[in-house]
This record gives sequence, structure tokens and C-alpha cells, in this order.
Amino acid sequence: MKHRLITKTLTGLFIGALIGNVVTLLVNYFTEGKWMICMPELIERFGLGGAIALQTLLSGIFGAISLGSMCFHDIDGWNMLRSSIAHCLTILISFIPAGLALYWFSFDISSILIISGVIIICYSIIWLIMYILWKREMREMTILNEEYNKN
Amino acid sequence: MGIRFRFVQDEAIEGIDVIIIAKEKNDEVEALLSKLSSDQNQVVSASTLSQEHNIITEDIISVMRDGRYLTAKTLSGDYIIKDTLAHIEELLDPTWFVKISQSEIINLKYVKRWDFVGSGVVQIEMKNEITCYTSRRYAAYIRKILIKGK
Repeated sequence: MKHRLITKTLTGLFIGALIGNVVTLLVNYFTEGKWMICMPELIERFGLGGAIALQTLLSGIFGAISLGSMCFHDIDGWNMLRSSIAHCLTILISFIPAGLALYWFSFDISSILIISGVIIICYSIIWLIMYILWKREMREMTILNEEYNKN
Repeated sequence: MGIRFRFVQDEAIEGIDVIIIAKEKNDEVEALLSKLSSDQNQVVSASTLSQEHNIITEDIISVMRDGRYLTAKTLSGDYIIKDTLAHIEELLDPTWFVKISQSEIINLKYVKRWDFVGSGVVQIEMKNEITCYTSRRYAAYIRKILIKGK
């Protein structure tokens, strides 16, 4: 588990940094019509270089936490609901400060609630899909077990 | 290459040791080991509240750690085994017996149904109305065994 945690965290660090910059670039293009790698407020505050460095760092940390905390699903004593709630909360808790610091959304309660709602709904959909897939996999396991016993 | 059989007398040995000597543990060796262990009807000493019994390992549905001892659920009832799970695991046929947690082993022969229930737990319905639970990690490992064999 330790090895998986380290691998996932490092992968998350790289993927998070990459996605954070790419998504901000695309969002700015489609909303502002300009190719800007960071939010204008962030560039204004830290300059282009500083803004890119901060965005890369924070989105990398967010990615590392999100992917690393997938290891909650590897804890044997935890059912899927418990590990999913822990993972979802970890994502929420790490995303909101990062998003606020990088000006991805504004510092008001309605924005934070909307963002939290979107994350929870997305995660719930993923949870439901995972549940259905596991249910199907267990039906297959029953068939596999019957075949194993015959052979 | 053929298989040669020979008997070596050793008065220091209690019981019978069957040793397979080969260059590597290949499929042929695995098959031979599995065949030998399935044919021997291994017996384990166990007890109920009042009596001592010898239970045939083949009849064991599940073995679980229960405090200081082990509880073996068999086709004929529950027994207490005064031994460690690790030692009992060595006596059980690896073709059929798999670990479903740190404290429980089940016999795949007596599995009736696998299911995913409640808030996300893998449930195993066994013969004699016995229900066991395992994690998704163990279930994924057992799935590989069911597909490829041990």
C-alpha cells in the first residue's frame, strides 16, 4: 500500500500540474476569448512567471492529494461508501483552497457551494457506476467459481 | 523428462514427507503437488465443547480466527481448533482454500454465490447458510485465482 500511495501521489503531482494549466488555458479561451494560462487576477497579482509557478505548484499538490487519497479504497476494513466519502471529502478540502488561491472561482459562499455541489454530484455518479460494475463483477465471480469447481 | 519415484527410509521422520525435487516449480510440479494434497484427505484435530474430533480438511467450509483459537465451520458443524491460522493454512489444499481476510480462509468448493451488498462490501454465501465478507482487494485477488488457478 505504501508503494501504491507513493506512486499515485507522484503521478497525481505531475497530472495535476498538467491538467491544472491546460484546463485554465482552455477555460480562459472559451470564456474570455484569449489564450491565458492563468486567471487574469492571478497574473495581475504575481506576474506571469509567478502565476504559472503558483498554479503549477497548487494544481500539482491538488492532483497528488486527489490521486494519493485513492488509497482509501485499498483499506481492507472500509466498505466502498466509507472510502468514497473519505476520498470525496479529501478532494473537496484540497480543491477549494487551491481554487480560491488560483482565482478559479470567487471567494463567496454561493460559488463555493456550487463547486462543492458539482464535485459531490460527479463523485456520486462515479460511485454509482463503480457500485454497478462491482455488482456485475460479483455475478461473473459466481459463474467463474462454478466453472472452477467443475474443472 | 519422466517422473521417477523412490522411497527413502528415515527413522527420524514422523508421519510421511513427500518431497518433489525438480529444477523449477513449473506447471507439472504444481499439478503434482495439487494432486497429492487433494488425495491425502488431510485431517485436523479439533474439538467441540465436550469432545475431541478429527476433521477432514476437505469438509471445512471456512476457518476463522476467533480470539485465541480458530473456528472451523464444516459440513457437520462448528469445531474449535487450537492452532494458528498460518499453520492450518499450510495443511489446507491451496487449490480450494483461499484467504478472504487476515483472519479467515474459505473453501471455494462450497461457495454458492458472490455478491456486492450494502454500502459496498463483498459478500460470499457459502453452503450451510454460512455468510462471509471480504474486501474488494481480496475479491480481486481471488478472481485472478478463479481465472488462472493458483
